[in-house]
Amino acid sequence: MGNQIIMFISQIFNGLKIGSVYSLVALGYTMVYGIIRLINFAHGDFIMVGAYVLMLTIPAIIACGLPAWLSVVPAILVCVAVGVIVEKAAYKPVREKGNNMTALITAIAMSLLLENGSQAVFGADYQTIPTIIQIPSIAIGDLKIDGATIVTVLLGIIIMIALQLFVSHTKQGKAMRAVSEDKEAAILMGINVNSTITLTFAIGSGLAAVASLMYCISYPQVSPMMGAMLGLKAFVAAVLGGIGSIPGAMVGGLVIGVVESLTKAYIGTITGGVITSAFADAIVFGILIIVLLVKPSGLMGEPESEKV
Amino acid sequence: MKKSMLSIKQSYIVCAIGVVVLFGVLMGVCETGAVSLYVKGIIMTCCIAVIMTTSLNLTIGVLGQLTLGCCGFEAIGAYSAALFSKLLVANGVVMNDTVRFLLVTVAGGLVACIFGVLIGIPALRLHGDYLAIITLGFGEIIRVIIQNLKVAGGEGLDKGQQGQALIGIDRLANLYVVFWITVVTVVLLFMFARSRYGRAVKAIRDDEIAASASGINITYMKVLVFAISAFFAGIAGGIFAQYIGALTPSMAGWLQSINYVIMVVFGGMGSLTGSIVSAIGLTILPELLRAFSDYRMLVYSVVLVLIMIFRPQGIFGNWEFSLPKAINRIFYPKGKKGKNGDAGKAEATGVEETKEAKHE
Amino acid sequence: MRHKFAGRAAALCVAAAMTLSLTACSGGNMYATSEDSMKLSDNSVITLGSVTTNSGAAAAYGEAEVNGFKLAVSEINASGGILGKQIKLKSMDDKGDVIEASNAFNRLAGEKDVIGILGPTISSTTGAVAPLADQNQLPSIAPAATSDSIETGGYLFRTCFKDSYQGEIAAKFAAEDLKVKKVAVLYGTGDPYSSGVGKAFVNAAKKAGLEVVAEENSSSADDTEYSSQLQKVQAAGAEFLYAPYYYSAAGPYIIPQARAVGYNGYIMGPDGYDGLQITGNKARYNKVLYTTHYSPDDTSNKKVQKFITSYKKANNGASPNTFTALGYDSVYMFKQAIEKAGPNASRADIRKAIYGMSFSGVTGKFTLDSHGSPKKSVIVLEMKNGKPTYRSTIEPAK
Repeated sequence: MGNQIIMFISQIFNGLKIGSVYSLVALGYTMVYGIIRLINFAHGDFIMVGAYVLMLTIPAIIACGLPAWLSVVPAILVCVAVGVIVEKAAYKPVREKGNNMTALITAIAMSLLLENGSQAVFGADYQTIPTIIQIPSIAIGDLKIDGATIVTVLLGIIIMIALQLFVSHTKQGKAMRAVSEDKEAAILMGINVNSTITLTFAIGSGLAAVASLMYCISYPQVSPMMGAMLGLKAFVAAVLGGIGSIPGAMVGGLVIGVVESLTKAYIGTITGGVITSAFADAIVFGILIIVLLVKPSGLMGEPESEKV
Repeated sequence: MKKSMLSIKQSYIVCAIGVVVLFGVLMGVCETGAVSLYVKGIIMTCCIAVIMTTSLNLTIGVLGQLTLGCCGFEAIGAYSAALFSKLLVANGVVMNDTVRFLLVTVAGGLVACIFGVLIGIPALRLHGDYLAIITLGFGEIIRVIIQNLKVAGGEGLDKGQQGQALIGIDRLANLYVVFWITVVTVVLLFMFARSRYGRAVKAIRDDEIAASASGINITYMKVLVFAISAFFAGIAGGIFAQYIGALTPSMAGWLQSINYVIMVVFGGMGSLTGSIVSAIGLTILPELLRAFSDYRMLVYSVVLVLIMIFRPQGIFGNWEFSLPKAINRIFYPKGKKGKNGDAGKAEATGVEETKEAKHE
Repeated sequence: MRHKFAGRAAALCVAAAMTLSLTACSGGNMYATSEDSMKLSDNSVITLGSVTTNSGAAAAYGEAEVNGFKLAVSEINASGGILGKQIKLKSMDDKGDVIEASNAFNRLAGEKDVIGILGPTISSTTGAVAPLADQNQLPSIAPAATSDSIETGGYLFRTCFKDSYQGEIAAKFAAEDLKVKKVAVLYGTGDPYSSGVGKAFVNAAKKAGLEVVAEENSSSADDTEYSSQLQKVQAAGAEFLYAPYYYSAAGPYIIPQARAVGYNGYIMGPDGYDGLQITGNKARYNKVLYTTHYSPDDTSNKKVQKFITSYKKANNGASPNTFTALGYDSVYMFKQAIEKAGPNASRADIRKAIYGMSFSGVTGKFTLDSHGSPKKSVIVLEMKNGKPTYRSTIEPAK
């Protein structure tokens, strides 16, 4: 029995390992969605961009005698630049002329552009990332907890609190909320809507770079398509938590990770082998569907009614 | 004025002749051996793409709802048709190849249609971004289920194992038959889009709340459109299965669906002509530019963004090519253009489709 | 309104009737049953077509195969060609897509001077092409498509061993060489290769008297997180884990994650581990083994060293990999078959010559069975100090 409990707790921590990465990615999704009501499909690919920057800069950073994780600084700079360019060059013009659907198609197109662009530049091959940092694992009795998981969860919580404080207490943060509530009214109040949106994109993309650092510590490999599935799962996490809600994204990511892990670990036994762990992805998307149908505002989002 | 125009009946005849001429050309080049197997394969691929794109356009362009799961339905149709075909053979049912081809293809379409209704009823309660995402989710679930179904790998059939590609499907697709299926599909979709139902659907696209206030049953209409789209996607899948002869679950993936969304958007949301042209164009172009294939998707994505910025309605917008209209323009040049029928808004007909002018 | 619909329905019926009658014409058929192929004597050169995956996710495999083809063709041409004729290679890219592969194959089949096809690269495209090879009666040798289900026994042959064979060899190796008792398996159900090899291993392991303590799945072969399944493998007390995946999943994810959950037993994989890159601590990769087609360290086969030397000379010192070696052998298989079939051979004659042939090449000595797959020796490599090193050669059961 004791073994079973330890096993169960280990499985939860296995889930938190990937879940904490989902959380970091979902925070970026939720920031952007909160302000312009756009599913930024390219967000997962910002992670990929960040990971490639890490791969390229780590040797240089180490050569300078600095710790490898400092390569997150150039990664943040590049990701912010990419995010702002994507917003200025594509999303903004489309937002001004088109409707929801054209905006979404643009987001998909930007995602394809980043994926295929990096494939043209770096090739389709998988490339490994050198060890960034060795975080020792913690042993409590028989229970072994991966150090990187703890750091990622803590980092996620810190970022979540920082974002929450930023949004509720600073001038720019208040401007963001105002734009999100009512764009026209915000303009009347003298808020520069465009620069507020750009700032949001910059923050979201910067978060993507941090997420790619934590991702690469646990999963040290990059490829042009790595952001696609990661982005989708993180999006599911954001919806589950209540898209637009900052704590919701954090909770959603962790829940999705744990659900995935427990599915892989127990569903075969529970269903007598009818549904195997191979269904983990289907179950994650099943959760998305159920949330959307039953409570589209998610666990922590505010319900929204259709405006005429 | 009337004299200068083709009557509605004449328009039908002109279109029918147009289609037959097109078919005659196709038959001519095939029978004389002027085209190789390779070219025939490309024409077949074009037909499948046309069916997929025009039917998807019904949902995206006419209903105005973005779905990212069309290949899920295509896969359902393909697997159903393939398994049904194998089942018929296994049970010793002997029939003409063409009859069997049509039978199993339609069966594939019907199964896809049933799933379209089942998925459409819950999914279509949402719209916009959420609908796109939920259809994507359903598509992925379909893919995972196919992956894990024993029979979809051929286990328990003549040969095969769960998780493997389904192979040994009789390759019964005949180019002539597929050509006519494509024609019929386009004609039916065109007729639907121009019918009373179609106008109701467009009303929903333009203003859902106003449409609802005018007494249109929104849920019913949406599910109907979704089911029709799914049906034809299933038909396309059935043809695909019986042309390629081997199926893998990855065909249900959302990246495949996005390919067709790209075709619809390029051609113009709401324009069947645009869908046909872009489906054929985007199928042939990569073949012509084989050396360039590494950068194909890169170029597509850039063009897609540019279209969204500069021409969000797509290349053809909602314009339809019309053979009788073109004939009118040639034989009765400018200034004599009259209005057809009594509704005044009628655009005559599409490239290979007949349709009625807008009058009750 | 009503008669209009009736009219349309009638028009459709006419079209349908037309269609049915037209199917009697041959032009609509999508394959040529008795296309007269040219004989070797009709041309001054021998043309081989190739359909490989040179772009997309599996591009690296296809490129390596083409390098092997080119090396073999230039060697043969330099030494006087086949039956005094030079070989010409017509290469096409299938992008890893079944439709593209079918189109490319049809295109080559329609060119009457093409006498045989090398490829396709991966199992899914080969599955689509296999019936085409039969229908067009065009002999094809797939260098590296390992799936069991592509076998037709007709015009399609292959140079590599098939998935189930590899799983069986691994089970045999675990029982006889490593002498373990409790084994576990982890495979991706969504990937035909991974699940094909994995299931064959389970069956063979049970037959060999091994206890399969855990059989775990993942959705696909490119997941990133396997800790949950590996934790169960560890808890079940396995001494040996068979994890048929590609190098891209095994190197950075499966092996480190297995070690992280405390599993310290053997980890074995199939030829997909070729190109395995280690990340972080090298010691984690000890006790990792994989089966493959050829090893550069294999001194028992003289052809291997000759192949490596000439490849390096032709490619600025770059090293060949397994796919290159398989591609290289495939061309030599055609050479042997064409020489046997004689100067007047047609496509069908060449197919007859390949059927059941015995061949000795870089990837070992083998005979093709009645389904067109070889029973051949398998090389086992072991990771030592982060580098794959030759461990042993397993001969096929007689």
